[in-house]
Amino acid sequence: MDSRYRPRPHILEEEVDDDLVLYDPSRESVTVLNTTAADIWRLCDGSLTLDEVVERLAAAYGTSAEQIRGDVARTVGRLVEEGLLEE
Amino acid sequence: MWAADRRYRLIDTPMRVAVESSELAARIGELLAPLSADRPARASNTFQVTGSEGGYRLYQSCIEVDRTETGEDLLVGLVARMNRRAVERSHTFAVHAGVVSFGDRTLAFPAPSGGGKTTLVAACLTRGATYLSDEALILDAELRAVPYPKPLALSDWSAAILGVDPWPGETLVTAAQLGADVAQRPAPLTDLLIPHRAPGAGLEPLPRSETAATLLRLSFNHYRDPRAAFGLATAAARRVRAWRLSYDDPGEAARLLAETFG
Repeated sequence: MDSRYRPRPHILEEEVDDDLVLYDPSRESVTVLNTTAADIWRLCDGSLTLDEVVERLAAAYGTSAEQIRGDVARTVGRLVEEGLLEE
Repeated sequence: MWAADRRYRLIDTPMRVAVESSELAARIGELLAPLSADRPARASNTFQVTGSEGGYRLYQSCIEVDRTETGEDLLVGLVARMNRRAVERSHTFAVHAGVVSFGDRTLAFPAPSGGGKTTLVAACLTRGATYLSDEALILDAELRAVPYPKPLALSDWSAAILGVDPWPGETLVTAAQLGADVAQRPAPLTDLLIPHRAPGAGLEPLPRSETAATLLRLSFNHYRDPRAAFGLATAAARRVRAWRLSYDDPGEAARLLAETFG
């Protein structure tokens, strides 16, 4: 949980209503993030560790870090797998 | 030598079609009339048709590309090749979609090839819609759908359910033959309807982000300028309403659309 993640440099992003649309031109893939996933995406700017991301989100949502740690890690894992985030 | 030698414009590509047979020239003239233009075409975008019933030959850039026995088969091949050429060369953001207008609402049905776009568009034309395209949503910088009124290629099944005399294989028809007008100028895109095969006919609102994702996934030239395509697709998403159109009978779907948007 000490890893830091950031968007891969070529990813384009635009907000559409409450969603965040991500476009990877190199893979011609489109990903739509809901509000929660978009919050995780925005915090993964390379400056925070995954633990710090979890703590920030927990504070923002008024819940405990333990409760959301698994979901946040899974979302980040999926974004890395899809080539949108890098360590 | 040529019974007809005409110029056309498909999306943003000028083309020329020269035909030896006067009978076939008349049929081509009727089918391609909405695409008529006066700009000269490059040799690489020139099609020539020689022969008569029983043996036709099609040339593209002076190279023989097809031989058919019947004029109708020749026409299907010619229109398909002209369309492919236009789509390959298009620099305007374009998406695989059928497009029609009901009054001031312009609807696009994005779907891959073979996804039923033409039948749905044709069914809408028999219900009072104005024709823009059965092939491509061409979206200009002002988010307007640019007309691309190529002839509609109906399968036997589509022709039968629409009451058109079917030709074995595919039948080419014009919007006028289906009783519809052709749009003469670009129309602001208002609604994106994502077709979904299911019993009955129904419309269900979708999140606007679905519009951006669908336009990019089904675009055939976003790779030319990905940043501009992404900007256009997300701008369209903010303005255009997105729906899931569930149907199993194109006629029923067209009736629903005419009632809802007409």
